[in-house]
Amino acid sequence: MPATITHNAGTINGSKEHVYVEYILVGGGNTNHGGQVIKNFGRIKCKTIVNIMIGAGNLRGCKSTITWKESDNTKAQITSDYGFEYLKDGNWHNDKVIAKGGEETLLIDNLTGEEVRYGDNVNKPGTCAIKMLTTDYNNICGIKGNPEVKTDGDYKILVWKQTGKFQVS
Amino acid sequence: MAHFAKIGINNLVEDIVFVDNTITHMDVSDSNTEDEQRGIDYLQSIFGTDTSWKQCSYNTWSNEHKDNGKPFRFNMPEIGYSYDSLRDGFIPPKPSNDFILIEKKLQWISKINLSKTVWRNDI
Repeated sequence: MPATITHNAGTINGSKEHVYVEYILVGGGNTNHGGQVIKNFGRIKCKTIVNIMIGAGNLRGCKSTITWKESDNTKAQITSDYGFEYLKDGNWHNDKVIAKGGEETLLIDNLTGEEVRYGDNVNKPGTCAIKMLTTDYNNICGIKGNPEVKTDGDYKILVWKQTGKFQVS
Repeated sequence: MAHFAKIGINNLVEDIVFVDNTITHMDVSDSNTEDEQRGIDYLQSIFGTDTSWKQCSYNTWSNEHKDNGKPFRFNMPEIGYSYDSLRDGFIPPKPSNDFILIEKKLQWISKINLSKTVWRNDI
């Protein structure tokens, strides 16, 4: 884990400021290749709704994305100006994450606690695995998309195979 | 599995996403219970009620179903295709002005090497 990442420590208005995560996003595959694989660290400001779009597998492949928006209940709490941020060059960047469709990359990784080949989804939809780097799983709510819940030690990993969303509170 | 196209400005396809049958079917074991509106409601609950979605068929191309099933909306779209609400189908981008649209397939065909007789019959 990079030195810039810390576990949740500070609190704002009684809730944690960020949930730190590690994620792997895979674009939809095309007829010859799987989708682009992006693995990175991220952090999600509390009260943020994170949308996960799983790109379809088809002739050319479709992109998968992680986007975010403020939740409706931020008014008296945290105004989520930053939402979802990813780590790049030691700094947090506030932008959506896009994994291209049908771009050949392959990553064998054990983010979920077991070895998985990411990016061999030829002609199949993408995936998104998000590992919560906090043991306080109750902090996650509003989950849609029926993600598979896995564990790696004390950490929970949510794996979406269809479009969905979740919120950190 | 179910695929949905996000329809944007000028009816252009902006994204194609995957939604599981557990969302689109009343009873996942019965294919007759598939309901497009269930998928649309689900996607709008995530991306907003101001977004527009149309279901598409992965197995449909040129108005034929590759598994001899019932074709749906003429073509499996890609980003950049357009959705034609009158024909209720997806149309690829027009390659150039030398191409004409075959109505029964919603596919473009070049006029250059085509006799009038053939393409009239195709339209």
